[in-house]
Order: sequence, then structure tokens, then C-alpha cells
Amino acid sequence: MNPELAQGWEQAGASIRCDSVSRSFAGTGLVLDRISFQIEPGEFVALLGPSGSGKSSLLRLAAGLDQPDSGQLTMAASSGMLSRGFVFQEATLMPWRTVLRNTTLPLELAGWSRADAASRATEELRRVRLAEFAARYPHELSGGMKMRASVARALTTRPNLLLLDEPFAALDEPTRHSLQLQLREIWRALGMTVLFVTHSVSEAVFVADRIIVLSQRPARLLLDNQVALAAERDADLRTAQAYVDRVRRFTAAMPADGAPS
Amino acid sequence: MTFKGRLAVWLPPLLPLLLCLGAAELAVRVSWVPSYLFPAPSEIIQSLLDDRVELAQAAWSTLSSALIGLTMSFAGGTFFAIALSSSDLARRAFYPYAVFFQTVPIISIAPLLVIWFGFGQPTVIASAAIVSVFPIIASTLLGLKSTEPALLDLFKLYTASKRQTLWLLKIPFALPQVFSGLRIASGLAVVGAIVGEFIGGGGLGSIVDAARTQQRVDRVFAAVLISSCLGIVLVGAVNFISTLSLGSWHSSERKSS
Repeated sequence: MNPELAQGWEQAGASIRCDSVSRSFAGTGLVLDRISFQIEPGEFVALLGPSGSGKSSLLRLAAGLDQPDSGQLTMAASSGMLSRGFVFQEATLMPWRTVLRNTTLPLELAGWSRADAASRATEELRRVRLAEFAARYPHELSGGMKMRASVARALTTRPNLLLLDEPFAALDEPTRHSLQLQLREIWRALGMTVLFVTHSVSEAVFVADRIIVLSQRPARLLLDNQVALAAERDADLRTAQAYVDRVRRFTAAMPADGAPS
Repeated sequence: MTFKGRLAVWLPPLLPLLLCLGAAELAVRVSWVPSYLFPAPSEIIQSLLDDRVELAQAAWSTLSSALIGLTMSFAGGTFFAIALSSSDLARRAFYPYAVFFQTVPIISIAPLLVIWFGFGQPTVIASAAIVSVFPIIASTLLGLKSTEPALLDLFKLYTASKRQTLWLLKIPFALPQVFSGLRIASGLAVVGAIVGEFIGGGGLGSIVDAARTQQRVDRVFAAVLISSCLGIVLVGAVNFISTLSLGSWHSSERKSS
């Protein structure tokens, strides 16, 4: 790991304590049904469930964009202030800003000077290998590059909790695979807590160390298990027997499509 | 572009125009149509040349009134739209009146404007501003309300202030819509200015009015021709500014809409 890049990243990770959290919406009814789990600082956890289960709702609660109806969701940094980064399903970049100015946005909102924000943002763009595209506009980038810019933007505030909502679902397979590896590298280098929402079992097994499986709506916690693969992941892992076994095991735990269980 | 290429672009729209002008000229020359009802194109051109100084001064007067009126309606309309977009209650309370305001025919309130502002430019400016304000309010409001929800979430996540959200997100996001409102408004401002001039005096409007009473149909046509050109100039200017300020992302914007 490059020591220069990790500089200033004193707060390693945040912990999440989810205690019997429920949430319902007008129209859809109950979406989250008494969800409980605990995530330790620095863990990489995938939140896995079928499409339309409450994964994204749960992530929005963790982001502070929404409040639970009942139960408690508490997050705390192991040291210093809790700071969250969020990566949406779409890259959600502002089309009128360059990649660099999109990446500086969180710092600008926090009142940083433009020069400081630019130098921090450039550092994060270098981390996602997008530094040479800093002056481009989003519509000039491919889908994968846009998503990397979005990840860089989430990293600029040096979050101790990184939340990702099916970030790679819209990308083609080679791009998706390469971004999964990059995210894994970033997490290994920086050590923040990661909560990664996906509906793909193979993706969850590949990126995460621990998988929480949710049922069909109303989502209940079905399974909470370690993946138990080596920390270092590479492309060869996708064909390894151990990986295939994990995918089969977690697929068996997934609720059948269609009928709510 | 080659000469042949240029020809292919300009010839199709030019041909009907030349045909129509030729037919009109012929119709008057052989006295199918009396020239006091419909002047020959050559008479209109003659009138344009004879009265060029007077027409140019009138055109400038109308254009400046329309521009001042448009500036006022842009400033006022944008401010009003921002105010309405920031509060649901304000929108419910005031937007219906903005819609009602738009349905009042300008020609029927123009006499009222003369009573309030007297004869002269203030009446003309007020008329231009009143006619052009609604499209600005409506499209700016639409633009401010259509901000991408995920970007709003992003701003909320980083605890952006209301002011930051407005200036850094909602207004830039609304710009394409603001410009489409401004484009409609700029054409209307010329209409409003000329209606104002019919009653309040000055500019191309009073030339049309005076020429009408003098039975100078050629002069009426000359003034009408110039006033349509003014509209085109204004819309063109708005397009130019729009391209400048939307710059590198307007093409992507067009693709997505």
C-alpha cells in the first residue's frame, strides 16, 4: 500500500448496530421487518437480497437519508467523527461539472477552499485511475469511468463508512469485474467499513468478507455468514472451487424469485 | 461547405419564397389584386428604402423597449419562480394567480397601462414585460422542480444548506428549461412592445398604426417585416447565450431529453 495515499486517514472504520429496525412506506407497506445485526469497524459486508427487497431502504437508513419507524440504527466511528460516503446505482454526476469539479463537491459543501478540495480530489481520482480525465465532462466518459468518478467523489471526505447501492449493476461484465477488484483494493488500502448492496450472489461473494441475506419484501434477515475466503482476491478466484462452493451455498440461501416467502 | 452543398441547404426554402414573391408581384402588376390592399413586393422594398432612417429609429425604439421589458420579466419571473419553488405553500397560494394573469389578453389591458404609465416608453416596456413573464415563471419553476432525486439525496447526505442546494444544484439543473422559457418570452416581448406602441405610441407599432390610417399598406408591410426580424434577432440572441452558458454539457442534455 502506498503510504502517501493513506495519509490523513486516521479514522479506520465505523461500527453499525442495527437493532430490530422496521420501516414501512405508504403504498408498499412493510419493507423492513425487525432487522438486527452488528457490523464491526473495518468490515466489508455485502447486503444481499432479491430485487425489490428492502436492501436499498436499509442502506438509505444507514446513510441518514431516511429514519426507521421503530428499532434503532446507531453508527459510530472508532475514533473521531462519523463520516459517510455514498455511491448510488447510477453515477449521479452533475453533467455541467467536470470530473474534477464533481469530485470536489462534498468538500466544497463542507466549506473547503477550492485549491485544497482540488488537491484532495485529484488524489482520489488517482486512486481510481481517473486522474488524466479530471478535466473531462461526464458525458465524455464510459459507464465504468463515470462510476469510478462517483467512487472517487465518495472517498474525498475520507469516510469511515462507505455505502454502495448496487453500484456496478448497470455495467457490462468485464467492467463490473474490474471495478469489484478495484473496490476491494481500495478497501484493503484504507480500511473503512463498507456496506455493499447487491442482488448478485457472485458479486457479493467476490467483494465481501461477510454476507447478510435478506428475504423478499417485507425483508427479514435470512442469513448472516462469513464468506471465509482469503483477504486477497484476484481474477483467478472466480474459477476457484472454493469460490464456486460459496456462490452455490449463498445461492441456496437466497429466497426463490416471485412468491414472497 | 462546397457551393453545391450550400445550394442544397438554401435552395429548398428559398424557392417557395421566390415563387410567392414573383406571384405576388405579377398579381399586382396585372391588377388582379389592387395595390391599396396588397402591395407588390417591389413597393414594399421601395418603402423600406425610402423610409429607412425612420424605420431604423422605430425598430431600435421597439427593440430597446422589448429588451428592457424582457430583462424585467426575466429578473422578476426568475425571482418569483425561485420563491415559489422553495415553498409548497407559497406555490399553492400564488401559482394559480400567475396562471390567471397569463390568460388576461394584453390588448385589453393596454389602455389601462396608458392610464397608469402615460403615453410613451414606460407603457411599452410594461406591456412587453407583462406578456413575457409567464413563460419564464412556468419553465423556470418546472426546471427547479425537476432536479434529479439522487442528486438531491447527495446534497442531503453532505448536509448542504438550502442556499448551496439552490445555487450549486437546482439552478444549474434548471438552466436548459430557463432558456427554453426565455426563448418563448423573447418572441412575446416583441409582440408585447408593439401592442404597447399601438396605444402608448412610439416605435414600429405607431408606424403601423399611422400607416394604416394613411392607407399606406406598403409601409404597414415594411414595418411588419422589420418587427418579425426583431423577434428573430432576440430569439437568436437567447440561443447564442444559451449555447455559451450551457457549453459542453448541453449536447448531453439534448440527448437525454
